[in-house]
Amino acid sequence: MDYEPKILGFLCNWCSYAGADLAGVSRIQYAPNLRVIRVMCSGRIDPIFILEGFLKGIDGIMVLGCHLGDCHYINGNYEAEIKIGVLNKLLKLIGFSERLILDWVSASEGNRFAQVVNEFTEKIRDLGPSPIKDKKYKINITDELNVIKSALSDIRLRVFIGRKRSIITEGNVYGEVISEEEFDKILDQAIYDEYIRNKILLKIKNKSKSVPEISKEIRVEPNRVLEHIICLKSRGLVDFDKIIDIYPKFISIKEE
Amino acid sequence: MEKVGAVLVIGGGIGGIQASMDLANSGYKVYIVESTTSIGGVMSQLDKTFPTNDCSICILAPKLVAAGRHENINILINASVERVEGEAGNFTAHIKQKSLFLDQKKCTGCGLCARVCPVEAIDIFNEGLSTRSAISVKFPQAVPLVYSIDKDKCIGCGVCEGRCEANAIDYTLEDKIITINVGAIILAVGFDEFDPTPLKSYGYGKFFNVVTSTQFERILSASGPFSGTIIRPSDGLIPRKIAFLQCIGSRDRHIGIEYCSSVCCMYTTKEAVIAKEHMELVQPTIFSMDIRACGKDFDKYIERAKDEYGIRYIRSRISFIKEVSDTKDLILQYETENGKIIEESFNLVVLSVGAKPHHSALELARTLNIKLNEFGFCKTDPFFSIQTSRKGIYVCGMFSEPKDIPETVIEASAAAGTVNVLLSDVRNTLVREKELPEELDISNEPPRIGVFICHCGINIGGVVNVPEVVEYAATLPDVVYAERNLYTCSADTQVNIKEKIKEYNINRVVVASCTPRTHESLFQATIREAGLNKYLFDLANIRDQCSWVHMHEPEAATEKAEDLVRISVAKVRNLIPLEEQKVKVTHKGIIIGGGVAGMTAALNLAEQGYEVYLVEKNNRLGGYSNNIFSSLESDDVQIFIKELIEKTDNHKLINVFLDAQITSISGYIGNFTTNIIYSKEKIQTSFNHGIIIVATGAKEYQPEDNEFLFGQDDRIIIQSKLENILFTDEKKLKNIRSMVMIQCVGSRNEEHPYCSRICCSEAIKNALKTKELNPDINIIILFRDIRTYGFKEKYYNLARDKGIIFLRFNEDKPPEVKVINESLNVLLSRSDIGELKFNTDLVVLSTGIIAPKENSDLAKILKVPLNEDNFFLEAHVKLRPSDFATDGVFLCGTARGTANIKESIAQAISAASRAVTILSKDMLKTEGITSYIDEKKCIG
Amino acid sequence: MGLFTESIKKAQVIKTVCKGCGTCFAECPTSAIIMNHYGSKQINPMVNEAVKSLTEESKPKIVAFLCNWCSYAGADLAGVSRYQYPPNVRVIRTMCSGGMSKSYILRAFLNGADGVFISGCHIGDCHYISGNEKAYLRMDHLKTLLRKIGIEEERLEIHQISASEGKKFAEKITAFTKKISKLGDSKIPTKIRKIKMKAY
Repeated sequence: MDYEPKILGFLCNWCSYAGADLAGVSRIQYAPNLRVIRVMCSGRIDPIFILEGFLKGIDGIMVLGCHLGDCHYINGNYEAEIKIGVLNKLLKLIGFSERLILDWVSASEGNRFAQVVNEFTEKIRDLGPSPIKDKKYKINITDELNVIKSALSDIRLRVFIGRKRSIITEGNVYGEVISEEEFDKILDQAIYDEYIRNKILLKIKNKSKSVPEISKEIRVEPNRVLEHIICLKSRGLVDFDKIIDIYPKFISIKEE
Repeated sequence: MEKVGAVLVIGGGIGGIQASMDLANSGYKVYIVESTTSIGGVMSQLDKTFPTNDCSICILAPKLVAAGRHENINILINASVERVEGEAGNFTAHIKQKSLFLDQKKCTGCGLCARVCPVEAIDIFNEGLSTRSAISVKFPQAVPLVYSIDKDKCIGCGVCEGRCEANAIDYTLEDKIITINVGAIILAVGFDEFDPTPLKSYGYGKFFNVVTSTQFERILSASGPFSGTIIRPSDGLIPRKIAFLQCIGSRDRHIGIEYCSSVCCMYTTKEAVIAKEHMELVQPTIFSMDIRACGKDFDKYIERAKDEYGIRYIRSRISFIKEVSDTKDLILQYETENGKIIEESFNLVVLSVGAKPHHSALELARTLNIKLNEFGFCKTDPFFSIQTSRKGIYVCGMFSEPKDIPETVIEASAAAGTVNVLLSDVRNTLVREKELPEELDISNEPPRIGVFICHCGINIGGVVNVPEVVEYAATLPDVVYAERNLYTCSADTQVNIKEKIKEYNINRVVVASCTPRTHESLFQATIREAGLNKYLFDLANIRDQCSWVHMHEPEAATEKAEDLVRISVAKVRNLIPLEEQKVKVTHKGIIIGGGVAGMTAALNLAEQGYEVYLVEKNNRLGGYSNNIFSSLESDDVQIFIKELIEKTDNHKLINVFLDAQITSISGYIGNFTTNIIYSKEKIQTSFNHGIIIVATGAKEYQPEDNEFLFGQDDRIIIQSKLENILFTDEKKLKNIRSMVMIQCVGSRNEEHPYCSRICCSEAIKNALKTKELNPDINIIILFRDIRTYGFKEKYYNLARDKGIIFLRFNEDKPPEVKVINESLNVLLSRSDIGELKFNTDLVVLSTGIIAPKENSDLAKILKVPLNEDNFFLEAHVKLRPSDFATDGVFLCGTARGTANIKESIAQAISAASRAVTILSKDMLKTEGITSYIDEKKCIG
Repeated sequence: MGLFTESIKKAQVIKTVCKGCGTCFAECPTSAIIMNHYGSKQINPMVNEAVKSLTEESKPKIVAFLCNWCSYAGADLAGVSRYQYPPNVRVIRTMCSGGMSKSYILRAFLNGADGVFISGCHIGDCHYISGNEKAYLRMDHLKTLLRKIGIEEERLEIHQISASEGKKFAEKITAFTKKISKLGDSKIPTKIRKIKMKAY
């Protein structure tokens, strides 16, 4: 069967959606693979929406907002940039990073809209269908996507994402501005840690495992796995299941 | 200069807390300056304590709560002393309190803030084994229970403030300087752990499975990162073979730390025993040099560890550790008793790290203008271990020398006792008694019950349907009012409760919230302030024993909460007001025993204005100390004793009775009557007094007939005889060219299965004195373990430097003394060297301390217990070493167990301080909850 | 601490030294000693209420008597550590296991409790020195009595749980609840039910 990329686009009401309308008014033709969801602002896009899309089998996702500085709600697109930035880092960790794009299209850029869509559609065509549709990779990719969906649903990363912009521009509650570099150092470590932790949770969801077993499965050093287990335990998400000889086995007690 | 009736205690560990409680209960206002955000110190990090294996936090927490609630104790957390001016009796201290970014009075410790904080920082309380948020509480039982923001780690996202339901968080709060006026200062800052990272050969910090003893303590702890399952850091597996390495950072001249840290041998054994208790498959091995188990019942603990728990002790000091790269196991090399070198692999290695002077030592010395000793610890008076180099400033615990918890508690009370003497004329000037309204008479009223149900943020409300429970409570008979609160324990709710009591004429109160063990007294105080007798109250536990343990069954939890409320209502319906008895206190004391301890206690009390009766069975004061000439540190004991006896005899408030016998004692705390017969004329007399201090001392062990040929040949003498010769009759040494000393005579055997603690020091003291008088005399000391604990280790090194030879023997192959053709010989058999024979001029037996038989007679008269070795048994070996379980009776000195002069003096002042918490009061309140007899039913 | 004085052959309580453990009250053969605050006047109504169920879901009903210093603290620790256990148990706190009169346990069973769980300090650790030793002896006698009146002795369990044994408490209560569920509802022979419970 011939593969036609299925593209999902989140367009912001004030700029990119208007730009798409302008393309239409001007009869500018572009690839018919795009399906649009209109939102009031690109800042509204929760990374979870995008992950839901990929989990459902969508081959490529576009988020289009106003040019930086032009957002109808002042900061919305800056927030979108931060959110998509974090999501991209996580997608990179699982090797799924080529299928998401964030770009800016204004209400007057009908041509640019068509161009952006065409380029992206071609790219996705070249990449081929989403690996989730391939029986060989389906379980693995589904698991990985669910892992980062879990990581992004938890309050820790969401706090970082939600507060980053104001802390690095206007200042934090103490009136101090933290440089983006310094902030990202902490954030990047948190992203990696939460990814690994949610991966561990998935691996011990139904069957309890010992640290060396988990370490082998996810290919992380056993001492680091143990540190993550301790953290998950203190959050009440993991507990001892049983101890067989010298192997304590841990199981996820997270409520789904 | 006017004296101030307040005291500053720097450090809120067990020492600081004990000193504060004694002082606050003796009529002084106390300020505790604690550098972290909670009192409790190192003891709060321990899992269990030796030798009782008590759960550390279980015995500590009640003391924390009591100190936190005490009307006259003011705890300043996150604080340090910046500057001090003034002199003994009147100091001005400037204290810097770092901002918590949180209002202490509003925070209820619910923990929601920590759960939403995105930052992860190293949890120092858990020794780096786990992480905590930027806003955190030090540990779950912290006092005060407040969270605080670590500004260094906080990114300022503001989420915690948003989440806090008590509006406690305030980012604008700044550091403050608090100035206080006090009459005395007590240092109780504790110690630092030795950091083994610089000792590269042990691989700490490089090898995952090499941890420190404090880290292992957290691993063992049920509230630690692994919930008490013993797991090793490299791979989360249970280490079957665990090696403990002693003396890391102690007894090591190479790194400039020559002293012994005193507690490591015991705490390592404890950790090994507890590890085995937690997990049967664990096999601990302890690599040590001398095992220093010199405290009360410590040797028995070690023997139990070997026999019952199968802990392996190998006498070898490990100098390096190798790691196996794939398994991350560790390889140790050691020498056996027979001289073979063995390599053995272990799954986990615990480094028993020693104690270093607290990091604030230098700064404190500067700020307070006090001296430190050669080891960097606080310098103290040779006889009074709580006296620093400056009058009015006292010290207790680890800050002056490594020591264990009971010794710290003793010194803390002793420091308080010394402050008592300094400030006794301004006692009770700054303390307040809470002003309370008259108690209402509700005896003719039917019960009118008010019920207050707590949400505790979401801790209860998130599981239990609180509004439903309130509705249900209102339907119960006799309930006239029911309401719910977000936090029933918060300050504003107390005001609300009092208002509702008045408005609805409530005469019985039920609160449904957390646990009565922490909160009952808070609510009792609240209803008392509203005029209700405090016993008209009950607390239904719908959190710790409901919402927290039935988190996934909200309906069942709600039904249970309703049941528990109904049960509490049934109870309070039948409660009647109870009166706490008040008894008058006779402001006099009796001291039984006129040795060093007895005299010290007597003087301490007399100098505060209390009359004491000092009862001594012999015809002169001084007790055993009359036979002691010098301490190990070369202090002149005879001069000290002479002065002590003179002061005692001349003090007008001390009545000395010599040749005295106690015939009977009756009464109870505050009101005792004692009958004695004294003097050669057998005069009878009796006195009334409020407290009793037992200071009856002990005896020197006299070797049995023929034990090491003692009594058969006058070339075999005991250590005290040698001391007598060395200090009063040195000519007797003229023909002596060699001597052999034998340790542990009459101690650590079946008849006396304990260590007498002082004999190693005595032997080395006499050996050094001998060498001083004649360096050519050869001295050999035959020992089982050399127990020169603490700074005494210095003299062990000195002795070896001076050419004194130390040879070890095993308890199953003790040395033999033989006279062969008139020449005196000592034979020693060693499995590695073979048979040794020493021809010598003198054999000196280091005999120990035994409890006199008369102890059982006195014990019966006083109704106090003795331990297995016939020494008097204190109320709690760890936290109440100077008290008997019977109120009003205290103990000190060698009556309690083996101790040297300095330790006996500290114990004596400690007992006196404890006694003053009673003597300083006019009336004592006793428990209101008592029983009474229905005489009609009693059949006798 | 009571003492016998020479002249009258009646027992006496010296209020100033009485610690309120209740052991004397629980041991007195003629119920001549009345305990304040934690005595029968208060505990009896608590037991009566504890065995009542608002719904069928809370059965089997287990009444637990825990001593303040050790076992109650251990149960609190289970809560602090969030060790879950079934919600069937209703706890009644006394100051010491020494003050747990046999009559409380009998009252619980005769009023319909399906199981009774008693816990005090470990031997040697009692806050009132030896109250727990007397309690454990007393409860052993009680098992014999229960057998005689037709109540399975498995329905009464006696434990020693310290303040640091939160996990142990949760585990023991869970195991006990499971055991009682298997035994089913307690069937008290009706003739026994008719025995009046004296105020005692």
